[in-house]
Amino acid sequence: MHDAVNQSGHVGTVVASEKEFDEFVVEAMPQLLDRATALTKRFLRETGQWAEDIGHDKFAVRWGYEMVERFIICARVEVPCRPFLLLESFVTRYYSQPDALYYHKDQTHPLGRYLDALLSRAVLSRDALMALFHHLYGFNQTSVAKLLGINREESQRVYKNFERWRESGWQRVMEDTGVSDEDLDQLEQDQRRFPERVNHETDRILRTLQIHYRKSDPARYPCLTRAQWESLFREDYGFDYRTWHLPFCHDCCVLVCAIREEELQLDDKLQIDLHVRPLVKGRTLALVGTARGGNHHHDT
Amino acid sequence: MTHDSPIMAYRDHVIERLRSLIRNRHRLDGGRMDLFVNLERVGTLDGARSDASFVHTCRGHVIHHVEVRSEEGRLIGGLNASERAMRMSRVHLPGRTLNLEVRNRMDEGSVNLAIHSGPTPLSRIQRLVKRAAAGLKKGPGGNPDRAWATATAQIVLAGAVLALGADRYLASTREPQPVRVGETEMAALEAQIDRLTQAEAANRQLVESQRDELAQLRKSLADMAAAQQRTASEIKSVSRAADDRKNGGDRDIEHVTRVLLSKAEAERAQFRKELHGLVLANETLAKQVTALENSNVDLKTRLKSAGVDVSKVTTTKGAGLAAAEKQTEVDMTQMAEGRSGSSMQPFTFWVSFQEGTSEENIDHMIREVHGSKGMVDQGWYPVELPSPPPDPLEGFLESVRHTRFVKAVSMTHLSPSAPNR
Repeated sequence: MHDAVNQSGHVGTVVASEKEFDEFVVEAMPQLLDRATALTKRFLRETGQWAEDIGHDKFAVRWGYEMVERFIICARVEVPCRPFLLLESFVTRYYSQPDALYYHKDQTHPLGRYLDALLSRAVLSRDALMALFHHLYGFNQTSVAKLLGINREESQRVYKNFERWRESGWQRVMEDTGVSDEDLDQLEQDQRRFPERVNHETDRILRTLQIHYRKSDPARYPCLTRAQWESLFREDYGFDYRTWHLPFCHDCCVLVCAIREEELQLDDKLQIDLHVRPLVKGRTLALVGTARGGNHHHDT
Repeated sequence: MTHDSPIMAYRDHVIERLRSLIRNRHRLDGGRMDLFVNLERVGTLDGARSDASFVHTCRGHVIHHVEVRSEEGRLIGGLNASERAMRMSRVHLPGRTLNLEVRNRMDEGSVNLAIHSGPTPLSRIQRLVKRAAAGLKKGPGGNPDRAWATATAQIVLAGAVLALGADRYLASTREPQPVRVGETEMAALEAQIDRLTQAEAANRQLVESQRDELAQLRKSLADMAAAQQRTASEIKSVSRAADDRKNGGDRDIEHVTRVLLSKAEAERAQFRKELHGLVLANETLAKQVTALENSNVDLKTRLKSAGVDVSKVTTTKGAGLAAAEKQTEVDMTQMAEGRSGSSMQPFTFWVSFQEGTSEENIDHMIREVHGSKGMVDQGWYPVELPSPPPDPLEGFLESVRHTRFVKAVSMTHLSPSAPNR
């Protein structure tokens, strides 16, 4: 892009130590990002997934960023090396793997990009994982504890660093994935004006994204039947499975809400209720219940 | 482009994020660490524990990429695995070291994530206090003043170390900083590094030796494959040669048979032709003999009637004789004409000359019999006479046979092995 001229001067540079590698990467970061972005664009063009619009441009930059992020950490063991050539081989190798890149045209729209940002981060971060209950259904910590059937101690452990997400994590994810403040404002405005349409669209996009990102944990990928879910809560096992699977599977979440309607006290069947911004601090509730299995949870 | 501005803003933000990643790559948020293999989460490790480890094995496919992420999803460590080799990565975090090791084999791979924590300030203090206590126990057996002095010095040293340790502990809780170590720890670390270096060198040597063995195995496999190919090609060539030889022998026999058959056929045709000529000549001779006998009978009849008439009619004697003579002349003329008609056919016989006879001598001999020479065939010269030789034929041929340079004479063209002498 803009640093193509400078990039040519960096191509043949050899770094001999980790210190040199760090210095070089900091100095040549724009060129490295542009190179990874250009390779991503080429991959999208060659696979017929490219269009000249801001959504696709942001998508390419985002994937270029992810490539460079991995490169910075993983290429360290390759020193001595030529970083630019190594980056190219790194990116090419990544895209040559089967199903290397998840691309969907909805990812280039603000709503799709927003949901993709939330779910892609939830794969990596437990804070983001727990936050999905709020962003998708408007659940607070108490509701989540009831839904998952966990006691107060476990709830505190799960939500231990949730403050970090609320303060900076969510904002950083939005910035890192290219969801601008204007996009967020527009989403909120649409949500206020046409809530049904937005929620319906969210439901549609969410099913595709959830199936993709749930693959990142094969052990917790499969869905359970109603009888299996009932058994799981009755006999109180599979805590990690429920904590992971339910935020990534809308259908199972609806099923579990139906099973646990007595604890949750929902008026209707669980439906998507998009909350664009994170829960404000004052509305977070602590959990008092002590027993597991969701039998004795109380709000304070 | 119209959307350059938001893209550039996003790009600048991303660049800044990447730079901060480099700056904070030694920082660890929380204790939990997630291990991702080929972008799939395979396990979690409690980073707060010392000397914890996690092993994961992939069956049926190799490992391409390994990542270790903190609880909030920040990338801490990772590496790209080799196809069929071992690869290691070491990440230094505050107070601990993260060792990542990936081994790929033919159709499986394994990853080993281990945390090795360094000595904590508390453990160092405990060790020092133990040493001091041991020094005090030795006191009663020796000089009391010296023992007190030693104990006092050790207590002072322990206090100083405690203060130093507390200071460092507080500093480490305030902000993560690289751990500073004393001389003894440094020496221990150096010794550990030396041991690790030696182990690494040994591993490297082992890997190299395995690589050499693998190369030798590959080479021997290649040689074996080449030898197999050579053997197969030799077998093919031998079988082909045997087939060729068999086919060649059959062909030779067929050729000889065909030559002999064609020669026999040609000889048979020649015989048939000569037989046909003899039949024609025989018929002609039979006709001439019949004509002569008829004329002879006629002449006898006329002679008888002429003898009767002589006694009856004298006057008509002259006329009858003249008529008889005339008739006899006519018959004789007719006989002569018939004979000359048959003698006008050309007569051919075959002559074989002795070896070394010149063409001049051959031509001379043929001129002597008033003949003409034809094309020589297998040493036999056809000699054509414009008319059959005077009787007897055998005498004519015998005279030719006794001519100088003549080896054999034949009425028919036969092969030299069986001439009609």
